[in-house]
Order: sequence, then structure tokens, then C-alpha cells
Amino acid sequence: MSAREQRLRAAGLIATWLLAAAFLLLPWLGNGRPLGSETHARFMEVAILILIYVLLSTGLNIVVGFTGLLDLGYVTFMTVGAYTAVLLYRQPEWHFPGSFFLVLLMAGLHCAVWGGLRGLPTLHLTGDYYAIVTLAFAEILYLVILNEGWLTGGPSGIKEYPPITLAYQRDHPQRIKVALAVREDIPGIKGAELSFSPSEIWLGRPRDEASPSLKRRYEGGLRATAQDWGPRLRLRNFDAGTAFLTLSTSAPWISLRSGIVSGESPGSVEVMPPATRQPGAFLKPLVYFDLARLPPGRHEAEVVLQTQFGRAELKDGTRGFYLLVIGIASAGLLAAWRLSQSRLGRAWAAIKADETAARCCGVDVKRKKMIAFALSGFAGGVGGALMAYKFLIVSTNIFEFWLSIVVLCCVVLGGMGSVRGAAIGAVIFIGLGELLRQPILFREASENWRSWVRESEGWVGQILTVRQEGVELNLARTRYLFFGLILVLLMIFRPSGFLPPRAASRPLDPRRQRALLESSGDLYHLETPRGETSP
Amino acid sequence: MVFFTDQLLNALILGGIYALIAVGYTMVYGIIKLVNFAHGEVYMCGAFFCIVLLANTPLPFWACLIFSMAGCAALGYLMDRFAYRSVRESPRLAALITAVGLSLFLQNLAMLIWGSEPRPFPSHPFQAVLSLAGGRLKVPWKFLFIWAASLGALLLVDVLVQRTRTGKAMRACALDKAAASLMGIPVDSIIRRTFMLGSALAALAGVCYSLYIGSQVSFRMGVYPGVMAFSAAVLGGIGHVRGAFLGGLVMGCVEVAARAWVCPALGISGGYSTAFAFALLIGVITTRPAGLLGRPEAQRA
Repeated sequence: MSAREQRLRAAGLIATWLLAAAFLLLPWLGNGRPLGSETHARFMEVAILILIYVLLSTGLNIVVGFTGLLDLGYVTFMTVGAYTAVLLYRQPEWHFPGSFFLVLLMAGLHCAVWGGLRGLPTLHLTGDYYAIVTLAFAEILYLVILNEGWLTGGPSGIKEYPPITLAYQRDHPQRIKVALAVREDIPGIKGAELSFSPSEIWLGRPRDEASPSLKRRYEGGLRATAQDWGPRLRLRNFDAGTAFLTLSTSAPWISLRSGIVSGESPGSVEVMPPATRQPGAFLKPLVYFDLARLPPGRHEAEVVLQTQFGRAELKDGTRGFYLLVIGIASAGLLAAWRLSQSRLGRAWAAIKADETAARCCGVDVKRKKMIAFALSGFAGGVGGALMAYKFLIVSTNIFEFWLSIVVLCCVVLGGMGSVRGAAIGAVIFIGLGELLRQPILFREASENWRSWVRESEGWVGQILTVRQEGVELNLARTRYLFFGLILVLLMIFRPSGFLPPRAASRPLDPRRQRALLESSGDLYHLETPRGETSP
Repeated sequence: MVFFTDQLLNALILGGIYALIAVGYTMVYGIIKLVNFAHGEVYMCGAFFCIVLLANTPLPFWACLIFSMAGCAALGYLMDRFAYRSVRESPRLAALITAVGLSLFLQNLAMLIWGSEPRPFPSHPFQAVLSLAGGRLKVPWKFLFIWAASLGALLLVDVLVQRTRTGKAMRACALDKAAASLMGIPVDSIIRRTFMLGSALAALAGVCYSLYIGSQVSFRMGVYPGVMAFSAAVLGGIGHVRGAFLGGLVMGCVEVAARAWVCPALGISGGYSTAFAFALLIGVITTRPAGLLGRPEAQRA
């Protein structure tokens, strides 16, 4: 290694540690010391995104960098992880202190299983064929997500779900009398009037702590009209945040669902059955009743409403969420680093160098590959789940094919096979992408472009536009143009990335080598120092 | 019966279009062992070139088609010259990532230039519908044009590859580039010509497809046909030109049959029709990677 190279490497090392320190200290740099709170919040959001990508690119690096198989469908795991986490965590049963870590674990394990299953038929594939199969699986999953609306919400995705909650406050169970008057004014057509008693319930801590008598205020029943025969139960004064409602009843004709109420500032939310759902008041269906089974007359039941409030919610940009993400990302980095140094890591390197030769040397290629797929899937699932709670929306618009390419870019940019490289790649690439997204940078350029196209009367304008008004710039997506360009240029000029892994043939530490040789009883190499082994 | 013939017409058209794209994939793969991910984008550019010329210039349809094919051939040349040639000696992963990057770049460049809204195909001379068998069978003229164009182009390619000097050189390069260059074949030039030929065919396919659909000319239009055509190339045996023809037809039939019969029969959404094609691709790759016409390759360490 030349002196210049050594200096470069040392500089890289220092830069890496400085960067790590900056990331660690970022949550405490707000409030004007030295960042203003607005800037700080923006920084935190970007940093969270970057850290999620650090985790993702570390995971992808296991397959692409360590094992040398090109995975073009990493978004598969992110999607599965995100949807798994959201669908699980939406259930009130999953809300207890610390449950989010369990949810993350489940999302990761689910993806690890799918990673293994996806790997199973592709174990003997290499190179392009493996890449294409991963791509095909990603596309199939995309179609499944799009078409299975009952589970995934279809093209619009899932929007309303509770954020990460670490602590809860349970309220006393409240009993509500439900009265249903079924009438059959016209034979064959039943109508119903449902009333709740009380129809207005105060939830949560009272806003005014000084007057605890205000805690719950009950009012009389509420009439439902024929058109919107939905009864309304008015829940008032819940704190900003999320409340989980659990309902139970013993009446056979009524079926209940628990749900999530979520709201902005303290206020009221109307809880309605699905027939009268209005935009704005969002809630899972609360009360169903089977009108066909009920004879005309008056029916009564008691419903027990149990509310549970999320406190300590970790939303995007908060310090808690940041610490959660940075913790997970660091754990991922540490694990990947240890793995790369382990026996398993060396087996992966052997597979990458030459699969057939590795098999001849006794490496259980299929097993090691499966482990790589599963681990990579695990990281992808956890990363996807975190992303779902960063954006608080999951849909096919977010988890689309290009996301795999973005993660791949991070890995390639940093240096395939290098743990530090993948992390640095994510920092540079995602940081750059967010920078390109800042409208200030682009507004002028896009205005110039627009006016240029508008003014060029000649063939240029005609070639460029089918209709003049057809020109529009979608800046948030235009950054992909630069991503593509960066990928191409990088492959041409620096195919091994910014921080390529150190030579694979780095010798073992002499003491460790000696210990290994001693334990294996290899007397020949033990007595012959390394480098002089020619017989 | 009418339903069946309609679906058959659709399958043949889709098959022809996929075959046209697949030829470009398979020839490039045969020679430089690269999955040209940007091929679908060339196809998209072909469609855009044609509709832009058609809408803004007084040129007749055939001239627009020729110009669009020429434009895409130039695009293929540029891609080879400025991107692929530089990574030819690099590991194959590097070339593949270059291709992915190019695809991303071209797609977003197209979006930047032509906007993100899908465009309709402008008016063309094949609007009329031909009535056959006493009016029971209606075949739009544009279908006939698409068949004639794709069949003619495929025959031409076959003749070119099998009969001409260039074709012979291409086959030689596919067998062994080093040996071919020792025999005095200008390998770089042959690769360039392969790219240009494949891109021109992709442009033809793009024009045909947008003519067939009549709308949906958008910057993303290349993705699905690209993957489908690649599947067709793999299905037929990648590297085999005639395999690409066969694979294209099979993929077209599978997609149409899935949409028309399999999805309704299974009671699932018609949106899954492409999933069947992908499933077929996975099945072929995992069980018979050499494809229908290819011979399995011995493993080399």
C-alpha cells in the first residue's frame, strides 16, 4: 500500500468517525444550539431517512456485496416488512409497552422466511438469472399488493394507523347502553333506530385538571334518521394522539369491532358504523348489527368500552424515533461487521469469488446462501417497517421497484462488500437525493427550462413537446435522473465504489492464526511461517 | 367464438411485439452477455419519437416510423459508445448496474422532456376496420399493419443473421469474441451494429404497441414490455434469435390467455395477468435456464 493510499485511507477513517459522531449528537443540537428548531426538525427527518437506508443497504450488502449475487427485488422485503408491521400494530391487542420491538421482530422474521423461500428455487442460479428472478418476484408481489385490496388497501394503501407508541394509559371501562328499535312500517323493509346511552363520552384526561368533575359528561340518547341510520357515539376531549378502543358485548345480535381513533388537537370524533362514514372522521367500523335476524321491537344491549391512550408516541422527526432508528441501524452495522469477519463471512466471500471452487473447498454453498438471503431479508423487513412508521403511510407508490435500485445505488456507491462503504453510500446518496429535492435549488432551473421550451418556436420546441402545455417537471422524481447518471458514471470511473472493501486476502492476525493452526493440529503450517510455504 | 378469435388476434399482436423487443435483448446478450435493462426504454423512446413527429410535422406515417427507428438506432449507438463500451472489461455486475442506471436515466429524461401524463397516439392512416366473413369477424387495419411490420422485420432479421456477412460475424462474436477478433472481425463494430439493430427493432415494437393500444404512451411504458420481452428471450433460449420469436409468441399467448380465461376462471383480478408471465419466467429460469431452444451450458469454475 503506497503512502498516498494510506493517507487517503486514514482520512477516510477520520471522516467516517466524524460523521458517526455527528449522527450521534444530532438529536441534541436543536433549539438554537447551533441549529434553529425548524432546521433541526428538517435535519432530523432527513437523518432518520438516511439511517433507515443505512440499515437497508447494510442488509442488501449481505447478498450483493458479501455473496456477490445481484438482488434487484429488495423492495420485496421492505414491502412485506412494512405491511406486516402496520397490519399487526393496527390491532389493539398488539398495544402494550414495548410491543413495537416485537412488531419489528415479527416483520423481520416474516421477511427472513420469505427471503429463504424466495431463495429456495434460485439457489443454483448466478448472475443475471438470479437478478431477473428477484425482479420477477418483486413485480409479482407488487401485483399482489395492488390487487388484494381487502388486506393491503390496494392502490391507495393504508393510511390511518397508530404511530409507534411506547407507553399507554388505560382508562376505566365505560358502559354504554345500546338500544335498537326495529320497525317494519312497510312489510319487508326494516328500519332501525339506534341510540347510545350515554351518547357522548369524555375520554382521557380532562383538559382542565382543576375540575375533575368535567371528566365525563353524559347526555341523552341521539336519534338516528332513516337515511343515516347510523347511531353516533360522540367521543370527546381525547388528547392529541391516538386512542385505542376495545369493545365487548354479550348481545348476540350486535357485533363489534375495536378501532383506532386518532385526532389532532383535543376535540371530538364521531364514531359511526360504516354506512354513514364521512370523510374526516376515520375509524374502523364500530358497531354492526344484523337487521335481517332481528324481529321488530326494541332490543337492548350493554357495550363495554375500554379505552387505552398512547403516550410517548414516536413520530417522524422526534428524538425518540431518531434514537430508535439509530440504535437499530448501529446494531445492523455492528452485526454486519462481525459477520463479515466471521467464518460465515469468509464462506460468503468464497462464494462470491467462485462458487464452484468454494463448493470444492467444502463450503456448504446452498446453506450459506440461504443464511445470507434470510439475514438480508430480515434487515429489509425491519427497514421497511421503520419506513412505514416514518411516512405513516404504506402504499405501492412508496414501495415501488425503484426503491430496490435506490438501495442498490447506496451499496454500489459506497463499495460493494464493505460494511462501512454501504453505510457511507447511504449517507451520501440519500443525503444528495434529499438535497436535490429541496425546491429552492431547482426552482430557478425549472423556470428557465420551462420558458426556454415555451419560447423556442422552432423545431426544438416542436420535437420536445407534443402539446405546449404538456411540459411539466416533476422535481421529486427528477432526482432519479441524477441517480441513474451517478450509477452509470460510477460504474465507468470507479466500479468498486468510494470505500471498496479491503483486499479479501487480508491475513489473519498471526496470533489467531497460530491458535487456529494449533487447535487444528496442522503442524506443517505451524512450523513454516506464512509466505515461506513453498514445498 | 368471436371472443376466442378476438383474443387470438390480441395474442398474436402482443406476441409479435414481444418478439421484436426480445430479439434486441437476445442478440445483445448473445454477444456481450449483458442484460440490457435499458432496452425497454429504447422501446419507449421509439414510441415517443414517432408520436412527436406525427403530431408536429407533416411527415407521413411511414416516414415517422423510419425516423423513429433511425433515432433509436442512434440512441443504441450512443448507449454502447458512452456507457457499455467503457464497462465491457469490468465484471458483469458492473455492466448490469450500468444498464439499470441507463434505464433509470432514460426513463426520467423522457419524463422531463415529454411530461409524466400518458399521451394518446395521434391520428394515423390505419383507422378503418376490415370486415371478414360477412361482418362476423372484424379486423382493424392497424392489426394487419402490425402483423406485416413485425413479421417482415423478424424475417429480415433472420435473413440478416443467417445469410449476410454481418450476421455471420455476429454469430462468430457470440461464440467467442477473442477468436472472432483474431479472425479479423471488428468486434467493437459488430457489437455496435447489434445494438443499433436491436434498438431499431425496439422502436418498431414501441410504435406498434402504442398504435395497438392507441393511448398510454408514457415514460413508464417500457418497463412491463421490457420485462416481458426479456422473459420471452429467456424462454426461447437467450442468445437464439429464433428462440426469441418463439418465446415472444408464447409470452403473448400466456398473457392474453391469463387475462381472458385463467383469471376469471380462478376468480381473481385481471390485474394478475402479468403475474402469470412472471411466474412462467421464474419457472423457466429455475428449471430450464437454457430455454426452449437453447442447450444447457456446462458449469465453468
